[in-house]
Amino acid sequence: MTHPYETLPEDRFWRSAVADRDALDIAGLWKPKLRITRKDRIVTAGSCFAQHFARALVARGYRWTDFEPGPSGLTPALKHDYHYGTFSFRTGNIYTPRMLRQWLTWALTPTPTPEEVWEQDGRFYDPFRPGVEPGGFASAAELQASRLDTLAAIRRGLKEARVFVFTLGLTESWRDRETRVEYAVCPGTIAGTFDAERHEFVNHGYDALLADMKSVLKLMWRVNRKLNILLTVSPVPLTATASDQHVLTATVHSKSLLRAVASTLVQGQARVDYFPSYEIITHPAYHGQFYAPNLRSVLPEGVDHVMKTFFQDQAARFEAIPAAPPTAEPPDINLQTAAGDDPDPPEMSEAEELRCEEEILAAFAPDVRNG
Amino acid sequence: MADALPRVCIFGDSHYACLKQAQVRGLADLSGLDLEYWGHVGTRFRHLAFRDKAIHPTDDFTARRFAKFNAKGRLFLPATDFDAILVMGARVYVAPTILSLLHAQSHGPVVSAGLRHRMLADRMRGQMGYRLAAGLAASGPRVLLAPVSFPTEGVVPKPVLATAKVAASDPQLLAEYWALLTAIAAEDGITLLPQPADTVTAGCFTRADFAVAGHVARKDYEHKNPAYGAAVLAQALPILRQVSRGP
Repeated sequence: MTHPYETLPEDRFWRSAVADRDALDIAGLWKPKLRITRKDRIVTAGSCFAQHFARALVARGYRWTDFEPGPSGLTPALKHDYHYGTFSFRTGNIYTPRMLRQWLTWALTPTPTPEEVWEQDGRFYDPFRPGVEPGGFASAAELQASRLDTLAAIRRGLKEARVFVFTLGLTESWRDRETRVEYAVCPGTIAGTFDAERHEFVNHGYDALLADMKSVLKLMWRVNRKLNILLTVSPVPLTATASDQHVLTATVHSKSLLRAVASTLVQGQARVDYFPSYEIITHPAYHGQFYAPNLRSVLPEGVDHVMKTFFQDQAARFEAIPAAPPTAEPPDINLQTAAGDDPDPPEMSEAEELRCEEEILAAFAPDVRNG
Repeated sequence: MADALPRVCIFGDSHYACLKQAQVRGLADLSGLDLEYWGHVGTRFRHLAFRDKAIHPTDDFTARRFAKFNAKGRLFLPATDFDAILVMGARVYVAPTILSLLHAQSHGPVVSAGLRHRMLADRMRGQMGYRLAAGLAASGPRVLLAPVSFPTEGVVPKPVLATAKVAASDPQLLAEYWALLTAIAAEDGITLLPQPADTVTAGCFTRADFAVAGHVARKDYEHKNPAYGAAVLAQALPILRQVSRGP
C-alpha cells in the first residue's frame, strides 16, 4: 500500500460515489450505528419534517407509537386539525433544542410549566404549541389541563420507547427576556401580542445548541437508559429570519450549526445516530429535484427517496441479522360499536339485515301496505 | 277532511318499525295527521341519494324495497309532498361519539370544548342518513330527527361499563352532549329529538323495558319495542301537530 486511499471503497470517492451516478442511485449515505427493527417502539418529535418519518415508518410496518392519540373515534380530518398523530406527542412543532429541553424539563422534572397563556378574542392559546387547537382553547384551565396530558404522554413515551427520532429545525427563536422561557413562535404571529420590552430574539450559537442537546440526552437517559436517539436536520429552509442576514444565508447558518451539533453528538455518544435526510434533499448532487417550485416545501418524491434510503441503509448494514417479527400493539379500546371510524356504519351482516327486516315485517304485517 | 291535515312522513331504517308498532297497538295517537311511512333496512341506505328535493334509490331493487312498505307505493320520497318528516334512526348514530366522550371524561385524555363540538358535528354530519335529513330540511318541510337509540342495557363490554358509570354519575355531561347535537342539527334546519330521558339507564344505555321482545335470545340490543316508539312519538307529535298543511 502506497497510501491510505488506495484501499478505500468506492463510496469514499466523489467520482464513483456521486459524479458518475444518477442521483437516485447514490447509495450508502448512511452507515447506521443502531439497528432499528419492526419490534422497536419509535417516537418522533421536532420540526415539521419529522412527521414524514412517522408516516413512512407506519407504512412499512414499523412500531411508531403515538403516545397522545386523542379520544377514540377521531376522524383523520379531526386528527389533522387538532394535531393528533402528527408527532408522538401533541407538542406541535419543536424547532429548537431549547424547546425540546423545555418540554422534557416540564415533563420529567418537578419544574412547573409557565402560567403564561396567550389570550385573543376570548380564546386561549398555548405559547409553546399555539397551533394545536384550532381557534384556541375555551379557557386557560382547559389549556393547562390539555398540556398536562401532553407532558404525561412525553413521560410515558420516553420510558417506553427504544428510539427517539428528533428533527432539528431552527436555531432562531423568541423568548421572554426575564424568564428566558422560549416560545414556539414569535408572539403576535399565530397568537399573543408582541411586546418589544418583554420579548427578545435569540439565535442560538453552536455552544448553546450543544449544551441544550446534551441536557436533553441527560434528561432522556435518566428515565430510559436504553433509549437510542436518531437525529435528523430538517431540509426545510427558514420561512423568515429575524437576524440581520439574508434569509438564504441565515438558513445555511442555522442548518450548518444544527448539522455540526448532530455530528458532535454522534461522535461522542454511542446511543446517538444521525440520518442524512438533510443532505439527500438539499445537496446539489440531487439538483434540487426534491423541492417544490417555492424551493422550500419538500415534495412527496423527496420524502419517499429519503425513507427508501433509510430502509435500504438499515438493511445493508444489518442484512445478515434476521429481522424480528413485529410485536402486536394492544388494540385501542374501540367504543365505536356501530359506526367505527367511518362515519357511515359498515354494511350489515346477513344475520343483522335479517333481524332488521324482521322488525319491519313485524310492524307492517299482515297488511304490508297499511302505511 | 284529510285535505286539511298536515302531511307527515315517517322515514327511517328498521328503527322506524317501533313507531308503526306503537301506532298499531294504540300506544300513540296519530290522529290529526295525514301520515305515511317510507323506509327500509339500513343496508339499503347506501343505495339512496338526495337530488332534486327528493330521496331517490339508486337502483330499482332498492326502490321496490322502499315502495313495498309505503301505502302509496312510492319509489322515491319527494320532500315537497310533505309538511313534516320525522326521520327515525336512519343509520344516524350518535351513541358512539357520546360514549367516546364519556370514556375520555373518566379515563382521559382531556377533550377540549372545541374538539367535543367538532367530534359530535363531524360524526353526525358525516353520516348518509343525516345528510338525507339535511337535504329534506333544506327543501321545505319541517324535519325532525330521532337518532338510533343507545344500545339496550346488558350488552356491556368492560370499557363501556366504566363509561356508563361516569355518565350515570354526572347526568350534566349527557345533557351537554345532547344540547350540542341539538344546536348542530338546528344549524342544518333539523329539529333533533334526544333519546327520551325515561328510556335511558346508566347514562348511555336503553332500559331493557324498551328492548324488542326476546332481545337477549336474539342478541338484538339495537332494536326497540313499541313502548320506545311511543316515547319518541310523544316527543314528536306536539311538534308535528303545530305544522300547517302547505298548499
